[in-house]
Amino acid sequence: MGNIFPRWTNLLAIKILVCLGALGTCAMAVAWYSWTPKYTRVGYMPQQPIPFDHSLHAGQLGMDCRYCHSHVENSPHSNIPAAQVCWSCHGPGKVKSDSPKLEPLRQAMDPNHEGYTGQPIQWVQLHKVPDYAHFTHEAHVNRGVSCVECHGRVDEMPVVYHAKPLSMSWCLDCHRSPEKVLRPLDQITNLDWKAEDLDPDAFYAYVAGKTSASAEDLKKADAGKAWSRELIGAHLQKAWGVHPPQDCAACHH
Amino acid sequence: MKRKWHHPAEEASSRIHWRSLGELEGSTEFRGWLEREFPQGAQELELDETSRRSFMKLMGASTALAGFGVACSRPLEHLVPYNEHVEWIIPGKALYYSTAKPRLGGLGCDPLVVTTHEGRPTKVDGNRLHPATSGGSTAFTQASILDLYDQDRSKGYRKGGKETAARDFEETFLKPFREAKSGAKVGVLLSDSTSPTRKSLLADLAQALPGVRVFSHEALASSGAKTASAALYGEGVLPVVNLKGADRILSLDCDFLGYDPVGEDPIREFASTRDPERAEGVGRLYTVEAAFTETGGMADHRYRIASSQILPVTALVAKELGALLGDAALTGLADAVASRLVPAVYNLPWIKECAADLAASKGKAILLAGRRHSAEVHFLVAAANRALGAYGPLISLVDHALPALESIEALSSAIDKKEIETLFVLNEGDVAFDAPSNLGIGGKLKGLKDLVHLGCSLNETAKIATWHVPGAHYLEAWGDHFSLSGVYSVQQPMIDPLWGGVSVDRFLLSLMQEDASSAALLAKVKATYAALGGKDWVATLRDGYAPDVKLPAGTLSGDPAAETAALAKAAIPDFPHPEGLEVALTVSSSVYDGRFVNNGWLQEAPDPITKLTWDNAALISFATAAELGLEDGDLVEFLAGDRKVQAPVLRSPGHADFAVSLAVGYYGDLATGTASKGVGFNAYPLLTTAQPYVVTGVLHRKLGSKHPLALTAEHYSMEGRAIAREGTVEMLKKDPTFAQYQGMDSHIPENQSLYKGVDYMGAKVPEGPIVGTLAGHEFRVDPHHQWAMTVDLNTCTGCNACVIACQAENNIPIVGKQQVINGREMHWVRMDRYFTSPKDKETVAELGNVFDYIAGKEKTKIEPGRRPVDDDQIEMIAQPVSCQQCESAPCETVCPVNATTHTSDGLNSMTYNRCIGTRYCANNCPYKARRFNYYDYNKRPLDQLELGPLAPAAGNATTTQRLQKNPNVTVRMRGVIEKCTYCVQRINAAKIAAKAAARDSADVQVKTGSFSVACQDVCGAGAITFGNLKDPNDKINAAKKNPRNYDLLKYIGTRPRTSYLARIKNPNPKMPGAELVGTVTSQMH
Repeated sequence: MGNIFPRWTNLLAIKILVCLGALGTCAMAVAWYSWTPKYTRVGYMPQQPIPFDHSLHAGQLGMDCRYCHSHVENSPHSNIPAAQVCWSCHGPGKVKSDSPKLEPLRQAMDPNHEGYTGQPIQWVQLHKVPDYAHFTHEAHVNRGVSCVECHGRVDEMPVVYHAKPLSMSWCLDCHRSPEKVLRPLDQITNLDWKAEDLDPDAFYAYVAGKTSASAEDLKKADAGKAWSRELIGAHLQKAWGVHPPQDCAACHH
Repeated sequence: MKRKWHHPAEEASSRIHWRSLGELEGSTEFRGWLEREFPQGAQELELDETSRRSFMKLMGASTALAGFGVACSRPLEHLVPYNEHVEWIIPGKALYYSTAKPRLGGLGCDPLVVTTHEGRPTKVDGNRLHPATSGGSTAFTQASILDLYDQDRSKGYRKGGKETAARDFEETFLKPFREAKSGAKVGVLLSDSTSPTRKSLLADLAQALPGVRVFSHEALASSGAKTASAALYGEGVLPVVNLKGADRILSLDCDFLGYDPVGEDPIREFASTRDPERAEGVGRLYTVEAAFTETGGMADHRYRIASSQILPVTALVAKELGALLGDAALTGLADAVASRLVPAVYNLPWIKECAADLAASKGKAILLAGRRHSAEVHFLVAAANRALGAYGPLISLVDHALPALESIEALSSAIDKKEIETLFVLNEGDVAFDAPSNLGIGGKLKGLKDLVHLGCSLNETAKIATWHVPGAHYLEAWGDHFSLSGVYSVQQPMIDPLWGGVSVDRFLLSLMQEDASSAALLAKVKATYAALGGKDWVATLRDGYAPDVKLPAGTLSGDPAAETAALAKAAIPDFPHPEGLEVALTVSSSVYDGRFVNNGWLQEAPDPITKLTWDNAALISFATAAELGLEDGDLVEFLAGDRKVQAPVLRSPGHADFAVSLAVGYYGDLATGTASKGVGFNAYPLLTTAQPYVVTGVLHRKLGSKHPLALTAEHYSMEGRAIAREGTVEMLKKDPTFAQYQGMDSHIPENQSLYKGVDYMGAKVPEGPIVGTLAGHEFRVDPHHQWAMTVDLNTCTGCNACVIACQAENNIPIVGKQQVINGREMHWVRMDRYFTSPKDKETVAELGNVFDYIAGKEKTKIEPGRRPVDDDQIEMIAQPVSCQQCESAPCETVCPVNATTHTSDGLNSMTYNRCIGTRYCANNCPYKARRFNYYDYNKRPLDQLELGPLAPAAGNATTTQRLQKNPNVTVRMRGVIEKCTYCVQRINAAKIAAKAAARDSADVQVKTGSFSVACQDVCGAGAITFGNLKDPNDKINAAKKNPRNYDLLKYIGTRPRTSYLARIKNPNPKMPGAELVGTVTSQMH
């Protein structure tokens, strides 16, 4: 009886398996990456009804974040400002009051305007955690976590985009090592703050005032260590007793 | 190491604990409930071929769709800020406003604080600032929020049953009526009310419409108490009982802990008398009643007798008291009845000892009579209270100067005489449905020229009305009320009427003036407030009450001669017997008089006594059932003359023989609402003006069919262990810690495990960041917060308020009758109710026949294999059980996906988004505290639960009730487990607030008492203490150190954070059978 299958078929099954394996691995790698929040969320830049320029308002003009997001310190949500807030500067006869970009604002606020509807502006939600995750701004901004840590350099964004993944593992990175992100409370809305902006002597004196150690001892203990965010953060964490929760129920309830 | 337990032998004369007859008798159904998590579960899988095929089809389709779904980008969602920011609102934070709700029955009010989220009320609670209340509230109050969002509410005007515009009513009817300025042949039907604004509106109305007649109707407020009150104290004066100093209480069928509130805060006041540390000692409660009530369950001694016999018993007690106190007037009054009795048929030793005990505590003893009993009973009770010196220290009289309104009988005869042609029906309830049946009001109303009905629901009256006006919920309207003791309280609206409803006061205003807007009513309320001498409106609105407005006191008068004459004429009904049963028309714990019939929370809350849901049943005693050959669920027709009602019977322990208790208010086939449809049996046809409460001489006829009853008594059974513990004052004196050594804990050997578990209480503040290979993954323990709870069984009445409060706070769905029958109710707090009775036959035979008053009838023969029940020796104890938050939790170790884990502050947390629904945790929970979402209860209406995932959307059946949801609690989906979380959302909010306040300091501990959990908030008895074990100022530490404190199933080593304080009974040693009271768990092993 002759051979039904030629010789080259001997390795065919293995080849097919290897190829399928490679393909599967590739597919999985693609899925692995492209289904993560890092890929799906970061860079998301929707068009807003009014092309509000954060780089102009928060960057160039130096407006504090809390001028508009006024409840960020006492609410879970950092509120989108009421149209009234925009209107206080862009109302009739004020700044750029007839700019075509502000049409939706006039529709909402100006009863004398032709297209007045009185309907509030429908901003597109950009940063969103799932409904079963209960995030709170209040606990973060009051305890030394700056806006920039989650939202990026909004003061440099003409159009705001999703800068960080806001995934659970990303949250936990800081909850496990909060020293990386803590900063003095008066610098919370200063998105450009750096370790070098802080005067070490004043800082050690401040930390000494909060703890039982003296400024001299603290300084001595840090001798040789680089002046960095981590160093500052570690001192603040200890002085303020910052122990971020890592329990599931802290956010999921 | 294996522990060997040697159980001591049980005493023969001991008592046993049971929750249902099935448990007592060891029925197979009960074994099923015990041994399997859900006995019906297996049946669910027995799908026939077609349904299995369609199931596969659906599964395939949904998988395919899921594949497509992944590729889509996330949905575009909008953030919509206000145009102009609303004062006080901080998006994401709740706002709290004070308001008040008229009490059920109309008189007095419940002062409330309402939680609103961005203008949407989500929860009501008692107002702790208000001097009339300690901050508790009732199940009805808790559930009233659901009625606000009821999908079946009346949503618009109707003319002859057809929808019409508000303008149509205003122009065709109201305007011509108003402009005629005549009250001739015009009637207004209202509820009773203590509102001063209502009173002034009625005065205005009498001027604007000369000749107008005003009537009042409350289905469950019989005229007896009213008549007696008018004769004794004068018209418009209300007696207010304060039980704080009441050492001895005799309740004559008065459910003052339930639906017969006699004062401002009777549950809390009564609870204070039960405190073992009270200087005067623990109080003592005697009750005389036919069916168990919450009050009867708290009693030290209970006399089981038919409701019709309350007058004779009262007379006998009064006669004894008269003799003991040397009060001739009282003796004379009592003799008018007592002399006509055959005393031997009553339990005279009980009556004698009870009266002696009351008389010995003169000045600190009080008699309370059920509101729905006749004026004669109230005359006797008032005279006895006067002799006991209860007026003053325990009963105060408050002159509300209520407007005199005519009765429903007057309305009926006025319609007969054609004196009323236009009637405005503005009362709560449903007059065409709940009025005494002999009046035939329904038919008479149809004959009126104009019948204008105002109400929130399209009920029987609305159906026959010529005009229907949508009513406003109390959270939608301005108003004011005097509380029972005369504290001026404001009712402020939380939300604009959802469907354009009009409140009663606004409607009255619209009869007189064109501008009857909410603002016009507010002006009226403010004017009333000013006229009463109120000075600071803003503060009154904020606090909910006005401290500077007072009502004068009334005086006790009365005419003994007239009272004696009335008593001498009073009929003395026979004892009920098989050919002449008596039916007591009781208040339903779910629907009250029918107004809550479409409230799913209340319908599904198991009745505190019977544990019946989604139904009413005719309660009868065991002896009656055996004598009449009836079984649970048998449909029976009751006939009183030509009036008849149908109802399924249900055997109820401790019930009077040949008496039947049947709750009114269920619409049965009349109902059309989503929750009320087909629920229960209408018992109102039995109610007449002559017999507004107890109907005597009733015949019965077994219909031969059965009605399924959804009882929860056997669900989640703890199998006869000593769970709900109790003892007596004597036991406490001998060994204050007795409760810790009852049941299995009396003889278990010490746990010899080497692993002692996590030391939660010894935690120190961690120093700086934790480093190392496991950085951030160590099990950390919160040094500032460790949460714990105690439940005081001594004051818990089992009223269900916590069950509903938990439901409101935690977005717990209802599941419907069939799902309850399947054992799938979702309540996180399970209100267990145990009955205890003597264990062995001899004890029963010996004690049971002592008071067997039915001459010539032997005590019912006891069937072989059945455990006898001695109805005279039954006690009741309620126990709320929810997740015990074990430190060493069995559920956590079996979860394959870490969905249930322990938090650093000692909570057993549940992460819904992780749960894959294996239900291992529920199977491993020794307390049976976990609940599983078999269906999308939150997404679909009850009749569409079984539709597959691709079925058409649920329609709008659940859309408005969605507005009630608490935004801080995840709404759970199908396939996940849920359970009590100690209101973790409130804990987290408090922690976050503490952190935000701490700013750059390390002071992050939650301040003492800065928050409370939902069940603790609502508890009228103050039985629930919750707090932080790490806070030395927190009351929880004292509660945990209480010697009565014990853990459930301590010996299995779960180390629960919730513990219970044992109930202390204070039996009168001279009473027959006293040695058995409160001893059940001391004899269990």
